[in-house]
Formats: sequence, C-alpha cells, structure tokens
Amino acid sequence: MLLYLFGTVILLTCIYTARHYCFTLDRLFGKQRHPYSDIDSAEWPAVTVLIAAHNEERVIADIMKALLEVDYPEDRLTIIPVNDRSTDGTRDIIDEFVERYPGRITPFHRSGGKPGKAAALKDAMRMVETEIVLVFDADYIPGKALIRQLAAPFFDPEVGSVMGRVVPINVGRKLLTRLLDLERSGGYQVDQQARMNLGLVPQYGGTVAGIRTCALEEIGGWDEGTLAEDTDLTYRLLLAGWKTVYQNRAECYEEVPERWPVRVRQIMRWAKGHNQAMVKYSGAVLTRPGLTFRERLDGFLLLFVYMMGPVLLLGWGLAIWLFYSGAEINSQLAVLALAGFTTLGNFAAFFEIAAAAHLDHSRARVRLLPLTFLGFAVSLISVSRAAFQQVLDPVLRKELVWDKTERSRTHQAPEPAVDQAVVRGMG
Amino acid sequence: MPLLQPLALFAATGALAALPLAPALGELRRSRDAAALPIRRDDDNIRNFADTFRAFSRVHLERGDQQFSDCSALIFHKGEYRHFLNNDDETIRGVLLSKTDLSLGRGMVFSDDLYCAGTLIGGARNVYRSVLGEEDVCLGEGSQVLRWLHAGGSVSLGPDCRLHGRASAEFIIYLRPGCTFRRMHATVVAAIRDELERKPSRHTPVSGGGDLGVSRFPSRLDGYFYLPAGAVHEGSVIARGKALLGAASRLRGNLKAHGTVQVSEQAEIDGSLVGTSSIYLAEDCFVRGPIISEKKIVVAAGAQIGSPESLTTISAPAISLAPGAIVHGTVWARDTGEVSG
Repeated sequence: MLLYLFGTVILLTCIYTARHYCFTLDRLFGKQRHPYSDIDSAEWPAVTVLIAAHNEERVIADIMKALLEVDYPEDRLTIIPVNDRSTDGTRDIIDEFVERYPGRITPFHRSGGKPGKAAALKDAMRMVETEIVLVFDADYIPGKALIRQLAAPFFDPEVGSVMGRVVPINVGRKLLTRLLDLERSGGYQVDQQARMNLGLVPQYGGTVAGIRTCALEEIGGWDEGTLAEDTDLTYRLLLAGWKTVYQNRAECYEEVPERWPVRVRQIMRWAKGHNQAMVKYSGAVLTRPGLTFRERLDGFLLLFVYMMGPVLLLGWGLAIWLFYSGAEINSQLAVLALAGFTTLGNFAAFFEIAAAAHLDHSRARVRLLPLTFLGFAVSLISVSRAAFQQVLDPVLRKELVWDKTERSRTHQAPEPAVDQAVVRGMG
Repeated sequence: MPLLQPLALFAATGALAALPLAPALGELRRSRDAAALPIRRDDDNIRNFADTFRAFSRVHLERGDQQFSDCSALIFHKGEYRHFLNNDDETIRGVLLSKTDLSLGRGMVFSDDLYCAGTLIGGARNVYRSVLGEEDVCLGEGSQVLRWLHAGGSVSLGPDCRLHGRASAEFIIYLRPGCTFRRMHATVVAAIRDELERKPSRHTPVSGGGDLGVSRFPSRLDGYFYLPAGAVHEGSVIARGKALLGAASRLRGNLKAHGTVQVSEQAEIDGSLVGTSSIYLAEDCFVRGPIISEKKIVVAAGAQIGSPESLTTISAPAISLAPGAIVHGTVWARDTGEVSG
C-alpha cells in the first residue's frame, strides 16, 4: 500500500518535472510569442489605474509620482489610489498629491468594510468608468511605457486580462532578496512566457496587471472571500471564455520581502488562496466546454502546484520509511523511478531558474543557484504548513486571515538601472 | 590514528559538499551582480535615437564651425574635424555633419552616423549606418540603412532600398517596389510605384474618437465568421475559425480570428483586427485600428490602415505592402517586411 502511495508521489513529481522541462526548453529554443508588444501607435483606450494601498506610507508616493510621468494620453488615464483603511500616513500623502496635481488623481479612501485587497478593489470599482482597469500594488514603480504595454493587448477582443512582468528592485539588500530575484526571474521569464508561447494559461497576477471591466462584470466581479484574488480571477475568466495574456516586456519594479517571516507569511497566503481556487475550479477546468486541451491540462496542473509541497514532503517521508522498514523495491522500474524522483524531479525548477538568469543576460547572479535550495526548503515547509492549516482551520473554526506584506523601503525608491537597450543602440 | 581517519573522511566529505557552494558564497560576499535587472524606463519612442544624435551633432557642428567656417559639411573622426569630400564609391570613416542641404554621390559607404541640417539626397547604392535629416531625406535606388533613419520632413526611398532597423519621419515615408523594412513610423507610410501615385488618404475616423478599439461583450463563434458582401455587423467578433468579410461589408467593432482572415475589396473594419494566422487585405479596404497577425499580413493596393487623425499599428512577423497601400502610424515587421513588385 505504501509502495503504491510512493509510486503515486513519484508519478506526480515526474509530471511536474516534465512540465518544468517543457516550459524551460520552450523558452530556450521555442518560438516566442509577443503579439501585442509592437503596438506603439493607436487610439489608446481610456484606462483606470487602481493602486491597492493599505498602510503604504513608505511607498505610495513613489508609485503616484511614476504614474504621473507615464507616456499615456492624460485625458485617457484615471489614477485611483485605493486607500484601504490605512492607519498610517497613507491618506495624507495621497491627499497631498491630489492637491498638488489637480484633476490627475481621484482618491478612494475606504474606512470600513471587509479587509483584504479583493474587497477593497471591489468597492473601488464603483468609481471606475473605463473599459480597462489596471491594478498595481503600492510598492511598484511603473516605467513610462508600461501603461501602453498593458493596455495594448485589449485591442484583442478575446483578451480579458493581461499580466506584466515583475522585477525586484531591492535585489542586493539581503540573501533573501537575491534568492527572490532569481525565483521571480524563473516564474516570469520562463514560466509565464512559456505559457504564453504554448497557448496555455498565463496567470493574472493581481499587480502590474489589467482587466477588462465587462469581463469582470460577466464573471461576477472580485471575490472578496478569497485570499488570492488573482488566481481566482484567472480561472473564472478562463472558464468564461476570456484569455489572459502575458506581456514579458511590460516590466515593472517591485519591492520583494527582506525578512524571512514576511516571506513565509506571503507565500502561505498565496498557497492558501491558490488552494481555495483548486477546490473551487479543478472540476470545472476538466469538464467545462470551450477550453482547449492544452488549457485544460495546464489549468489543472497549475491549480495543484501548491499541493506539490506536502506531496514532496510525503514522498521524502515515505522514502525514508520504506528504506528503513526493509520494503522490497526490487524491480528496475522502481529503482529508476526513485532515481528520477530524487534527481531530475528536484532539479527541474533550478534548471528553470538558471535558464531565466541566462535569458536575462545575468552575469554572476546565477552562481547563487545552489543557495536557492534554501528558499525552496522554506517555501516547501511554508506551503505544506499552509495546506495543513487549511485542512485544520474549518475543524478549529478559524477564519482565513489576510496577511499584508510588510514593506521595507525606508528612503526614496532607488534610481532605476540604466536602460541598456538604449545605450547599446546608440553605439 | 583511529580518530584521524574518520576526521579526514569527515573533512574530505565536507569539502566536497561545500565545493559547489563556493561560487555562490563568493558572489554573496562580493555582490558583483546584485543590481536590479535593467528594464525599459523610457517611453520607447522611435525618435529617441534621433533626439540623442541631434544633440551630439549640434555640439560638434558648432565646434567644427570654429575650425572650418567656410565648409558646409565636416567629418568628425577620432576627436578631429576634416573636410568632407563628396566622391563616388568612397568609404567615409567618422560622423558626417552637414549644416546645409547635402547631395551625395553614389556607391558610398558611411561607416558612422550622418547628420544633415537640411535636405539630404543620397546617390544610388549607398550604405549608411544611421541617418538623421532635419528636413526631407531621399535615398537612391538600392541604398541600405543599417541601424536607423529619421527625417524631420519626409523620407523617400528608391526601388530596392533596405532598411535594416528603424525608420521614422514626421510626415511621410514613401517606399518603392523591392524595398525591405523592419520598423517604420510616420503619419503616412505609403508604398508607391512612382511619383504620380502619391495621393492623399480617403478615410477619416468614422466615430470621432471614443473607445471604439475596445468594445464590450464580443460575439463568440466556434466556426468561421462570414460577413456577406455589403452587410453591416455591429459589435466585436471572436471566431475560432477563419473570417471572411465580403466586398464592401462593414464591421463596426473588433475582429479576432484563429484562422486566416480575408478582408475583401472595399470592406471596412472600424476597430482592430487580430489573427493568429495570416491576414489578407484586398484592394481599397479600410481598417481603422491596430492589425496584429502572428504569421503574415498582406496588404493590397489602395488598402488603408488607420487615418492621419488616428494613427495605428500594423504588426506581424512578415508584412507585404503592395504599391498603393497606405498605413498611418507604425509598421512593424518582426522578421521581413517588403514592398511587393
């Protein structure tokens, strides 16, 4: 019985291993799809930018300043900072900007209601009058062309939401930030772009992202009961026939957590929210008509991605138990499977990160690859803990709690790196 | 001795285990590559190169003028200025700076950038690295621009010219048969056969602005989309198969098709046109919004994309423009762009 369970773990690991390799090899050698990134002249649609802000006094000024400087027709851009029950100086900073730039910023101060980003955005949608809504977290710093890059895919009537690329700005601060930089590279440069290339399910990530308001209306708006409104939205849009597209060149700086406890809380929230979506949508993804086979397969595997943490831990436990209990694993297939599980399975994600570093023309940062095992171990334990808590919470009658990611910025945003493309182009 | 062996084994094992971590720990300690990844922070304007080069050129024209006030065109090379000798088949090393109109010989190779404060007329089969003309730029037959070209007025390319990088003009870019291109931007990009074919655009925006490019709730079709000749369809359409718009039909909305798209003669699309396969635009048809194809776009004579009041983008790996086709805005061929014969 335990051997069969172990075999199942190995099979699941192999499936996700194959998935990682498919993505990485496609990204390295496949045809790359960037169909919307060339749109640079157009009758640009009116867009509203929502900035989700809960106690963001350290960062809110930087994003508002950056948004006021973007290259987008002023009369077609509405900026709405969503001040969600902040108790620090966020409100004052926003109001100061409103006063300094009359007519450019429309603040939304929320003093009550359900906590959480989805609930705040849901309330803020009452103020939105445009067909396109872009969403940023307050710690992001958009570049001048970013709004155009995020708005461009909406010329495709099939696109319901768009996701840009997140690039950490505080890379050099700590070991954690350096590891998260590599992890983000793998997640966006390889994972998301490969999904775009292969016609799979790129994920709406909830920030540096956009959504078509009629698509949002059609699926019933933001779900304030979820901890990962982004994953939830990705699947509801998919099931309603809308496409989510990824714009790898719509890059935006963000601040990643600098302290391990903050990172653990962040990933636990993501895991819990993602698992909520897994319970809600895995059946529908397999059965709902209108999805392509690729979307069905990738959508299904993506839903279970955070469950692979506890599954791997279970596999390790079983391997040790079976070894010391003297279980007979005498077939060559089992030995091969075990070898595959312990080597290839565990290294696929690292191969993905290394490929991403290569694609980003990183020089020495890829040398940190062996240390990403540390981040991997912390994530593994955190997502497993989140899964167990989720199973136990209903029994203990605990409610899911929204944990806001703590900001570390203590000064003005660092100067962005020099645009190498332009420098090289000048020769 | 009995203690030494296990210790030696332990030390050797530890050293072997630590070996792969050595580069990582070295990088962690020295932080040689710990800056944020560079990302685009500029506005991605096609004129950016020209703007930077203009500033550079004006400084050096002024300095060069102090040495050679009688000379209208100078070469700036390795920190020195010298007279420009306009000889056929010569290779020019250094940046060419002209403070007046300039007429070049033929078969010349410019290994550095060229600035002309007036109108530039280039001879046949010249090779340029980059060109900035403050007024009109006319390049002779078979010329090549390796990097970028910008004109403060209009650009006129002779037959078989090759633009390997960006080309832009404040007003019009004229291309003749055999020309190839990658990325172009101007109020008017016109493929023409000869001077007589230069004619103004026919169409103007139909709804006077607004969010026509982004419509609500599209119709979804599992098969192909066919709009009969002369018919009018209101609203956006998503077709899983091919799309065919009959002659003189009109689609008031956006169209997305997963198969080949054929827009027949005099048909009109008031929004955008997106296809995962090839898109064929027949004679005298009109598309107001962006056209995006993941394969190729073939534009026939008389077809018009965008309008002078509403610039737009046409983008695909391969684009073919027939003489007589007009695009207002950006033409971006990822792999190959050409003006058919």
